[in-house]
Amino acid sequence: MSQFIDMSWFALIISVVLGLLSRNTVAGRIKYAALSFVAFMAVSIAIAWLMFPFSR
Amino acid sequence: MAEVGNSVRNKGQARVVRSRGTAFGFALAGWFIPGLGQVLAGRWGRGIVFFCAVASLVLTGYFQRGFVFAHQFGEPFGMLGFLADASTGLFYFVSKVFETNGPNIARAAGDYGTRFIATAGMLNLLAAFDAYAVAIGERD
Repeated sequence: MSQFIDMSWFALIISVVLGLLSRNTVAGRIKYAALSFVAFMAVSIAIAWLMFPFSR
Repeated sequence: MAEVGNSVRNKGQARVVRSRGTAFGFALAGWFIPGLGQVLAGRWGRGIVFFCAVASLVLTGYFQRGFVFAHQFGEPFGMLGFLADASTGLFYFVSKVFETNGPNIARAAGDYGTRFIATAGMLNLLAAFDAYAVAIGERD
């Protein structure tokens, strides 16, 4: 698996579980999981870009 | 499913409050087989999601040849790694079945696999705590 797919898979599973644990309604869970997934991906890509100049 | 106040319950499903001993048993069952605590507490959907989440993470970790910590109480990081990995319950004891070639943390994938396995253990611990809370009636 590529590292990006690894990261996406990890973020997806964690987001689903956090959504399930953090909210009590179905709509609330889906919204929380979606926001959490987007946040995981956005922060990861932002950190990757910040680290890029030091990668070589 | 029906909206009850601010929570979700199946139709006709009432909140059942169990003793702390029974709740501890559910949590223990949930540690050994991820999601079983929720299933015993009557929350089938949540139990299945927990099982799938923990199984997906830990199997991804095994197939990426992540490192599975054996018990080693002399070294702090090793002990934490063992506690995290052992929290995956049944999956910890069958790690050799999936990792027939042993770990390979020289590759990045193997290192990621180590994190996947540890994270699966942490999720399973959260699931066990959740099963306890559901059983004593603190959560829906």
